[in-house]
Amino acid sequence: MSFVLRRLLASIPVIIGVTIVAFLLIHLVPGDPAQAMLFGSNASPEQIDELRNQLGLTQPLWQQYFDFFGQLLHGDLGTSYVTHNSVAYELVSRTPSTLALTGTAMLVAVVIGVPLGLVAGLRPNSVVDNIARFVSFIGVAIPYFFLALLLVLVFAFHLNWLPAIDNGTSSGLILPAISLGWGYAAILTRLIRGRVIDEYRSDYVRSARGRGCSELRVLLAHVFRNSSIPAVTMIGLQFGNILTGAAVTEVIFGRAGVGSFLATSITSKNIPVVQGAIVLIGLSYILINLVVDLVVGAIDPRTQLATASA
Amino acid sequence: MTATSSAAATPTTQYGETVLSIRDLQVEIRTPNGVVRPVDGVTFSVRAGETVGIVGESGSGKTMTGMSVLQLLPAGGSIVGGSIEFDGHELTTMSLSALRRLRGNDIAAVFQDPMTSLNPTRTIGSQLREAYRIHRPGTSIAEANRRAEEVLSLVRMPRPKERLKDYPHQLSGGMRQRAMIAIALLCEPRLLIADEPTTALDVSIQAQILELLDDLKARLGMGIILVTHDLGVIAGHADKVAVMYGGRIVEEAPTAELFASPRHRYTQALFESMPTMELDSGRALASIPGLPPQLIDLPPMCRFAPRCRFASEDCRTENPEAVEVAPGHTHSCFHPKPTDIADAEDEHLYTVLAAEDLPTRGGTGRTLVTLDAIEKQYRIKNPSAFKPRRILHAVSQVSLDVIEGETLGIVGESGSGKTTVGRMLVGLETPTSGAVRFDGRDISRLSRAGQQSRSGNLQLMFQDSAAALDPRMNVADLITEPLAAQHLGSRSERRAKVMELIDAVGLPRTAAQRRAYEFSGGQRQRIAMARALVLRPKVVVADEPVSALDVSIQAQILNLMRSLQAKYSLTYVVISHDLSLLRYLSDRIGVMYLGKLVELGPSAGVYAAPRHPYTAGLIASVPIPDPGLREHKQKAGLTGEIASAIDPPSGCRFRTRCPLATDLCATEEPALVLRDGPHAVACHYPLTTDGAARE
Amino acid sequence: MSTLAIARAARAARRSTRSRYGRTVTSVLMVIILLVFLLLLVHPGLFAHTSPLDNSDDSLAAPGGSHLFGTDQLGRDIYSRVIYGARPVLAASLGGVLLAMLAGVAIGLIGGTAPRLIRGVVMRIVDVLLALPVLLIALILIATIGAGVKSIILALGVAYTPGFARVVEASVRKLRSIEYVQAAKMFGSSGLRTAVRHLLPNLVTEVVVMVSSAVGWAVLTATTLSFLGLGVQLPNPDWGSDLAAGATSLSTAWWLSTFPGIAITVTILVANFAGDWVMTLIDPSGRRAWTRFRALGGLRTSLPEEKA
Repeated sequence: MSFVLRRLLASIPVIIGVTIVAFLLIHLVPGDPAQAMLFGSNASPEQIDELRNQLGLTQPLWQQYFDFFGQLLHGDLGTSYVTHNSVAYELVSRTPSTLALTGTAMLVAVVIGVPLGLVAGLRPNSVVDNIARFVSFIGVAIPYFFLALLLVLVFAFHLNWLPAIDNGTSSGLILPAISLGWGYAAILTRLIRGRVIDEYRSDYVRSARGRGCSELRVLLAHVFRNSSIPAVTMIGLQFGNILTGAAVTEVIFGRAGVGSFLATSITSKNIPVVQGAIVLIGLSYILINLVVDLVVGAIDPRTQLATASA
Repeated sequence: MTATSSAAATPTTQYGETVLSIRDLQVEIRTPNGVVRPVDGVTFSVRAGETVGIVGESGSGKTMTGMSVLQLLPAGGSIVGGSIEFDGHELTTMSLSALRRLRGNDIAAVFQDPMTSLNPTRTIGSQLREAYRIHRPGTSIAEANRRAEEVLSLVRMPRPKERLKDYPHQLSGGMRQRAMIAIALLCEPRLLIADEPTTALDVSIQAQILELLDDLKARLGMGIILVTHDLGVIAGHADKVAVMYGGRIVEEAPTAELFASPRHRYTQALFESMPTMELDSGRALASIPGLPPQLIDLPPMCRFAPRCRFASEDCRTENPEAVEVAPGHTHSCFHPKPTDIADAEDEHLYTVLAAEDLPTRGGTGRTLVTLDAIEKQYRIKNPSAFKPRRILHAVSQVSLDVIEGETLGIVGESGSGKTTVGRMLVGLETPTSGAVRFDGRDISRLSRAGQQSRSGNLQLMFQDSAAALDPRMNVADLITEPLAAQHLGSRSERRAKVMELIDAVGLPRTAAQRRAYEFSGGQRQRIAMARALVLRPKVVVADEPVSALDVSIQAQILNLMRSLQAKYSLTYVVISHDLSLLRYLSDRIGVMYLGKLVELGPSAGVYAAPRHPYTAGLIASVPIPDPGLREHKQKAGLTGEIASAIDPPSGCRFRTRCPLATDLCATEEPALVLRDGPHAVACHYPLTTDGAARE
Repeated sequence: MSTLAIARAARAARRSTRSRYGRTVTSVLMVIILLVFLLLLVHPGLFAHTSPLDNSDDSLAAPGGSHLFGTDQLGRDIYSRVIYGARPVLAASLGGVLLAMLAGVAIGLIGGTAPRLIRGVVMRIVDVLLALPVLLIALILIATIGAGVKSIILALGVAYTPGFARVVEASVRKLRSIEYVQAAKMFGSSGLRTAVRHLLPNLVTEVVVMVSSAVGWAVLTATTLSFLGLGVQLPNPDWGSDLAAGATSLSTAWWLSTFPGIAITVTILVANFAGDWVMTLIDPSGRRAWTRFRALGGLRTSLPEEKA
């Protein structure tokens, strides 16, 4: 229990830091926020000033930050410059699509990467192992956006099996998920392979065999469990990258999700949206890592003793 | 204290029928550089109720012999010849599935390091249950738990039911080993293979575990194969001994017989290179020159010949055959040691030191270093979320003097604080309170300039020589680093010093340009020694100088230390867990327990008549290579586990394990008080001279 | 040595002797390839003889003939565009990694040696930056300062610095408690001397390893950014932006996107391979922890120390 508590407490400064970064954004971008908001509406200078007062932009910086933070605690992420809707609403309404893609991509990564890594580690330098290593080597090297195009070229245009653009069905999820998840599958394969080879050399495997454990049992009850730890950790650490990769993939496949929304908001300098996205993404990253820590702690209780560095 | 090792002292045991019979076993490990034969023609057998000890140094093949019974060989290893017969079945040709039915069932194994030999991510209970349910299919979890608890009580695990839910890292070393033994015994095996089962444990725990194994053997009627490098363990717990060298058994005999009259020159060399209590400190230890052979593609020869003083031409060209010299006593040596050589000096391997090579025993009498009530406390994180940090009492109120020219030994088990004391002596740790004085001056808290001058007087040899030498530097740089750090001496002067020291520590001159990791453990210790001496310190603190080395190499280093002491007029503070080593090496011994100094006095006195119950228990726990004392040692060791240094017991810290403890011991902490001359003890009920006679 | 140790040592020795021949060949090949890339960066004209900006009438020609990779809608030679398009990508990724290395090592050293308070503050900031994905940080920065190669260099530098800092800080902390560093202290070595003679050389190996794995990821991120239109602007050639531009005509003129894509893939492959090669150069004994580190995607990860 105290392990959970400690991890939670350690996350708080980071969360606050993320909000500070998000907050500072509006002041780093050149241009006056009030003007940007009223852009194109032919507002008079007095109206702009009044809006500035309303937005609290005349107050000292730390005061503004407190207001910002207070708003955050209420779930208010600001108002979009473009649509004048609540940012929270805009972002949240788009999250299901992005989460679906991210989740499926991670699934692809695990379903392909873990078994491949296991088999490769079980029979190092065998044919399967060499294939796996080759595939993973390439897999890390192909950029996912290029892979997406290639997959579309082959499976959508030439073979016509799958749609090239999102059509709202689950089959529209396949190509994006594969192109995004493939690279992580490659990473997982290498990770797990290395770990499996190491674990088989360890003393406790010898002890397990000495007790009469069959090789199958050794694999499932001992090696697999201990090898899965770095995989779980990696997923957590790469979650942020998977999420942003999903954003780019959404753009390619024409999916309406947080990613494409964020991309257009950045180019149109819709700062409140970007702020909100930073907070949301940062928060979910921290949350995911917390969950990962807990899972790893459950698998390997030794980590509960060591608090994360710093 | 005299050793009367005769057949009368050995208890007569009725052994059962032969459980295991190994004949001409040969094991190979395929490596790309050639084929390594760690086991090359080993023959012996084990009967029910018998403990067969296999003793040898590293590279002798003893571990591989043990592992080959259950075919737990490393990758690339296989049995290529000979037979292993168990209960009428031939194990070498058995199918893997049949072998698995035997593993953990009829034949079980216990390994050296229980921390790595247990799966760290699964509870003890789950591993126990697994071991049981594999061989008793259809057992429910509840039944398996019950059996697990039963066996945990059998191995005297405290609070067995709670242990089932613990993970390996939550247990102490001794408890982990008990868990491993429990796992091995779940299905009541007929044969137990124990590979260095106590090497990783503290001395007091070691004795408990070994005694436990003896007891279990008697109860269950098992045969035990005990693989170890420690002759003391063999003497105390093996019924029959096989001495291995270079993949072969060079001598085999009942224990008492072997210790009474070893015949093979290697056995003789082993015995004479150990610092036992009887050894006259006027003698240098027998050191066996050279290193054990690489077991790759060896021609027919006696494998010990290259290192044997008595070797002749036939030793180098023919494989010696086994010769029986007494019932059950065989050896394979062309020129065995004669049975009676008491006065034939040239048949002995040790040398008597000339007077000028001997340091003045006891020193000059002048106090050089004073430890004045030093304490070291560490603040460590509290695992519960909001409590303040806890305090680890590493060293508490230790006061002693180091006399110029003497060798002071500090002995203690893990958690005793002895290493911390050593580090405080040289300034690597600053005492939380109290002072370290050199020549009267307080050197406990110094500036860097002060530290530099201090290093000219006190130096440390680290416990882990591999980590203490920067792998990127060559030997010459390593040795001159202290000079370079203080900008002393010109380049040519430093070079000359390096050569002088390399010669002094017995390294070849070519060593200067090589990197530290290219050397063996013993040679690394020599490098560390040379580095420690380059500033001509007056005091050298040696932290476990030989514990990681093989017995024959240990002797080399110890001899070197003594000769350097005479040559450079050094004062030593030797920190070790090995009592017999300190008995041989040091003039005075200080005994530490849980951060406190509990006894301090002349080595001979402390050994012969320990005053503190802990010291007595420690001495009783030390495996002594003298089978005659086996009977006497029963139940004389220490019980229980070392308490925690974070929350030490009130009053006398030893009281939780002390058979003499009373209420007074809980309320009042005993002070270190002189009794009978220079012998001090911190105990309310110190043992008297007759009370301390070996029980 | 125990039998096990002998066997292991023999295996390791065999690995190095057998591959000594293979290693020389590999080294020669690697040096050649890296030289090629260097030339691509500095003097692309050596490889392409037409300008990537030349419009011509031969639009949307399939690969073959005088246009090895075909042409685009404006008749520009794709091959030439691929050759010249290497420059912004290499500049951005190498520049970004260099920046991150310098900043990261500096911050990591501070974090590892400074008193508790400063260390706490610095590492907290590092944690915050680590909580945000690389691409997001890059996007935000570019949104603030505008698009272009220089922006990408800065963005990559800022995004990868925390990863470097984290690893360096952990290294320094571990090295400080290692026995030979303590021994140096015992000899009276000054802090500076210890740092230079002991910490730094051992740190260099770690940093080189990190850099070698970072370059591959930097290329990926840089091309992603230019794919999103945040790098070099058209009509200048760039792999990412060319790839994006060709995406719409995928079904009809596949060569527009495919060749830039292959170029990116090959570059990342070479970067990863070069990283492995550098590692074998530095540490022939092959400490496996590093390969795992690389497989993880390098430097933004901060796993707890693998147990020995």
